[in-house]
Amino acid sequence: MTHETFREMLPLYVVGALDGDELHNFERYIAENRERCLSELAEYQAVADQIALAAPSAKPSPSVFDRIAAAIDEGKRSQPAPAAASAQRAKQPGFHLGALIVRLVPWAAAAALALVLMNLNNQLQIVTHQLQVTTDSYNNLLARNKEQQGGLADLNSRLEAQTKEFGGKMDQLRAKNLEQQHDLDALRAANKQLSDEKDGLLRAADRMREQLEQQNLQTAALQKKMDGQTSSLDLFMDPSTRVAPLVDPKGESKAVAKVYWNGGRKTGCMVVSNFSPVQQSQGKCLELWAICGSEPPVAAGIGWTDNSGHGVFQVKLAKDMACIDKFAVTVERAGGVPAPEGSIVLVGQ
Amino acid sequence: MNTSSTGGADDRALLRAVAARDKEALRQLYARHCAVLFALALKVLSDRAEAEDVLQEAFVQIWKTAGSFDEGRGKPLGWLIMLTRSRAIDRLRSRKTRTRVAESMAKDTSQATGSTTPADEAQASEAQRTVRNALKSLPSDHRVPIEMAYFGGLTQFEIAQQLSQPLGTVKTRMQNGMMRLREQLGGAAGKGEHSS
Repeated sequence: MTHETFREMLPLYVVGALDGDELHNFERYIAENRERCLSELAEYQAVADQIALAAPSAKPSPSVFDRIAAAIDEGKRSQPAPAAASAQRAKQPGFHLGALIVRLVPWAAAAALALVLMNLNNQLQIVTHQLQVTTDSYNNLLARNKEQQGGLADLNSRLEAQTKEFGGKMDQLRAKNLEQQHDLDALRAANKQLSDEKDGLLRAADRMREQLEQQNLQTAALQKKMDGQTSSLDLFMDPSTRVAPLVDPKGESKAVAKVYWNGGRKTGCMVVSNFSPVQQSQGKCLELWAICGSEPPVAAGIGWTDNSGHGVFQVKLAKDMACIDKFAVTVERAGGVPAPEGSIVLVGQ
Repeated sequence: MNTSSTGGADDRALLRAVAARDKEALRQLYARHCAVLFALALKVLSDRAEAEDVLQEAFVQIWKTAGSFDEGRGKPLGWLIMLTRSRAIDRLRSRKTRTRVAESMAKDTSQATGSTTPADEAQASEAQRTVRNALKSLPSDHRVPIEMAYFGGLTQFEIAQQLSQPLGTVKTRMQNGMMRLREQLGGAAGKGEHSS
């Protein structure tokens, strides 16, 4: 028993509601833990004692104390007379003890025997009465015990039946739970497999998307290139397209160019070869100029040459011109300028 | 009759005098507490003659065993109540009508033991009124099992059967009821002794 249990049972103990093993265990705990229990026990016992005061007031008959006093006196009389009294009587003057003993021996013996017999009879009656009361109590206890045993047996049998039933249900639930656990494991495995497959498909889709985008870019570039080539091919195939060869006016370089110009379409292209590289990253460009008589040159497009000195760029006039007598090329700032600033590096009619 | 030297003494002094075979001290002790002890025995047994027998037996036992009273274990009145209640409960248990007494106590759940007539209330001491009010303040399902145990001598198992309630419920209600009584009467338990 713990001290917590002691505290829970204490209120029941002080009103006398405990019995059987509980009572035995409780009292044994108190005996073994006297110092710890006594103050708490006394506190609750004092509360229980006060419950007696709640009984409706009543007074006993006036004769009760007389009966108590009589019972006490009766108890005193039944006790043997103190030896001191006999001794005092023996010391009285004129008292001849030997003669008295001789005269009274038969009577005294008879009286003593009678007193002993009466006393024995009284004690026998008392013992018999006590035995009867004890027997009645014992029988009552036996009857209660039997009744409680019956109730206990009934409770035990019900408990066993419920335990058995509960055990069966528990086994069924365990088996069902195990089965569901297996199903759950299989579902988890399948789910993981599906998830892996899904991740693989997503990655493949991403790769394909990237490839498609690259192909689209390449296609667009090819399309643009093809459009340019188609346009150039149209230009070259047009009989009205004129060709103007350009060379270094100083004759110092081998650089050459040809301008293909279609006056009807007002468009054309220029092809440059053997020219020193002029690249956009250098902040420079080649700018083509169209010249009509003494009119100021008109910008006709810009372009660049690659590392081998070759380049192709579109010819487009900045404004309409009445005629074009010749073309010239200068090196200018990247992006071109509205009027030539650099010297002419190529020229031709 | 012995000459008494105990006039006006408290219960402990009276018990010491009784242990020294002072019959006047016993008379004073009886005069002081007979009403409470008789009322207790009568409440348990519901029979005046039997209650008077119990009172007589209790005081004869007090006369014989007053020397065994342990002053460190509690108040003299508590000891007198314990002796009287034990004898009354023993006598009740030897009856075949005990079950009927307990049943009547269980059925009478509407009225607390402390419920008394106005005349009775007027005669009651302050201590009695305090205890009766404390019991009245308890819910009947807390009060009744406590009274069945204390005045009916029933165990918790028997109370549960009589009330047709689960044993755990009865235990809990009795514990709660006693805790509330301790809260209300805890201070009173330490006060001066009862006098009728």
